[in-house]
Amino acid sequence: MAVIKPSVARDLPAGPGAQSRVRELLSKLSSRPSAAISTAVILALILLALLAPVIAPYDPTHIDVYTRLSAPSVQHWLGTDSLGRDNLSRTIYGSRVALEIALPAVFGAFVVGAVLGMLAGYLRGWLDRVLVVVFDTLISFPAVILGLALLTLLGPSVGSVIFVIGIALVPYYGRLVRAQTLAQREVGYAKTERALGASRRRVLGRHLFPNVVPELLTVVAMDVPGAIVDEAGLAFLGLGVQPPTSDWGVMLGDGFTNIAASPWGVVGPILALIVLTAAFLVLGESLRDTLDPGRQGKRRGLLSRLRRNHR
Amino acid sequence: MIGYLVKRLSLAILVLLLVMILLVLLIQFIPGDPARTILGNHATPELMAQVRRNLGLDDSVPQQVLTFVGDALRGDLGQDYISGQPVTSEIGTALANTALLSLASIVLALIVGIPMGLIAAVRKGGIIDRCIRAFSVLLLSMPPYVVALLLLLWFAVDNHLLPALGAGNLADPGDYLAHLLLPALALAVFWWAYLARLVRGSLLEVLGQPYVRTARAYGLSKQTTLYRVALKNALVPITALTGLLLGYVLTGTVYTEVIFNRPGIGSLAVSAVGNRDWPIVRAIVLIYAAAFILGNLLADLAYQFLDPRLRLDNRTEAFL
Repeated sequence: MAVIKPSVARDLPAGPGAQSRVRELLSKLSSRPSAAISTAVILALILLALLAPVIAPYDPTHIDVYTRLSAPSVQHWLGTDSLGRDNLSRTIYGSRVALEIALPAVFGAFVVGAVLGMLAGYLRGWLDRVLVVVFDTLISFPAVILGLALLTLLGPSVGSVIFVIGIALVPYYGRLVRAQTLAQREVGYAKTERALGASRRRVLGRHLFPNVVPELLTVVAMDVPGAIVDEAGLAFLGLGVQPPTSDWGVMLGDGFTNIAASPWGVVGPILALIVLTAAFLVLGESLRDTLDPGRQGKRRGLLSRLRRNHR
Repeated sequence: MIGYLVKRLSLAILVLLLVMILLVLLIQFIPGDPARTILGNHATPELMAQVRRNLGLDDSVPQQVLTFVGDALRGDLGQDYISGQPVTSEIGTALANTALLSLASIVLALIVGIPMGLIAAVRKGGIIDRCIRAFSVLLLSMPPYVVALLLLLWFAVDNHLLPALGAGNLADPGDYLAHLLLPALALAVFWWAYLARLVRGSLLEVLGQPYVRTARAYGLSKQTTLYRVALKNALVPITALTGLLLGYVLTGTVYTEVIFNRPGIGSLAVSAVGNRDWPIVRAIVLIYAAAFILGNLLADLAYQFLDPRLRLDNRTEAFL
């Protein structure tokens, strides 16, 4: 009996097609009004960030001390801050900073976590054990607390804030991908491939990766608002993005300092943070209900998301 | 059970040890001379030498780890090189304030959140149920610092109903509690909505189980069935959330202490980060991590103890 050559293995189809599942999911989602509204809100916020120079009524750094700390008026819909800068324009520009930090932090963390998690789950052995303990150690720090330690040593800059938020997420993604890989590893097609003599790289790249990663990406996208909340929080404490950047946290800090004189400084960023988080929350719940309608999707979904955001 | 206890406990100790090692190593990974980073560009060589000696940077790395872990076990967390005082004496009262705040907000979250969920489940479709459903997305979408800022605006800036600044006088319990209320509330509100939804869902699930019907069929009153049978079982999965709640509260203390100007380890850490006061930051981060590890350990053990089904497959759970 001839030995089956790896070239035969190459002709085996990859796991269940991801594309058809995405299409099915989208058609189911579009029939839910809450999903449609929340998606529209998120897209509007992204547009706001992209088109900030066109939409914002003023230059967010334009200082006008004669109108400092003013209440909302026809000229300044959300009032002005302690240097007379337009709060609305600063809030609009703030969405740029928020996305500039949150997107690389979350997706960078996912790339690192996915690679480590897949290696741990697929190779097992000592590497797996070491990585699990490293993940456990990093998870023992609530994200912002770890941020305090790292920012003392790194100093505040956009790069260090991205790093600080990202590194707190890596262990969650690492664990998630590891668990998925462990499960997929034993599924028939992966076993067959191994039996047919496919290399580790091939099994990981051609079969495990396409089956493990795309579904997790929706989960990961739901962490973007959490990252923005952390970013704004660190900036509010004066440890993240620094003034005079038009950042929601920086604005909250300035508004808080002058809160007795004018409460209007904090309104813009507060509304922005709430609307953004709410939109992602509602979209996440619709997604989960669509994905597994039978299984009390709401509860589980919320739980797993909070786990990542608030630790 | 004993096997699980030993395994879980040793994992917690191992992780705590690794946290300490990480805190020592962290300063090694920073590019450049840590003493220069901490002191800035205009430091004198003598001062830099002093900082280096103070942080033990002249020793080898394993020696530094041993010194830090050994000292920490004896309750010595190093010296603040700005004031020259031992870190533990600087942290002392601040730690008590933060611990009380964390405790108060957890208690406040539980004593309101769980009954809310209970009422929502029993009166499904009633006022509380509808209110929770209407407001929960809003409440769940507010970061802790936003809640704190809004409370500060409503109760302290506009109406002066409650004291908003400082921690109050610990010798005068009434005054201290009045100062504690707003910060604790700021951290609890989110959990009211969250717990109410969770308890409601969990309880409705349990109420549909055959054993609840059996209990009723055996003649137990509605009340007894609800509290002794259903609620007890519905709360078990909630135990697993304790760690989550703790993580949220610990992070939240940093924000609320700054916003309400409370002297606690959170606000102390923030000012220490600004001063690049590494010994203080390191000690506080260690305390937060230790509290978090301990809380999660207790939650896991409680869950394990309360849900006998888990004891069967704890061999896989322990390492995941």
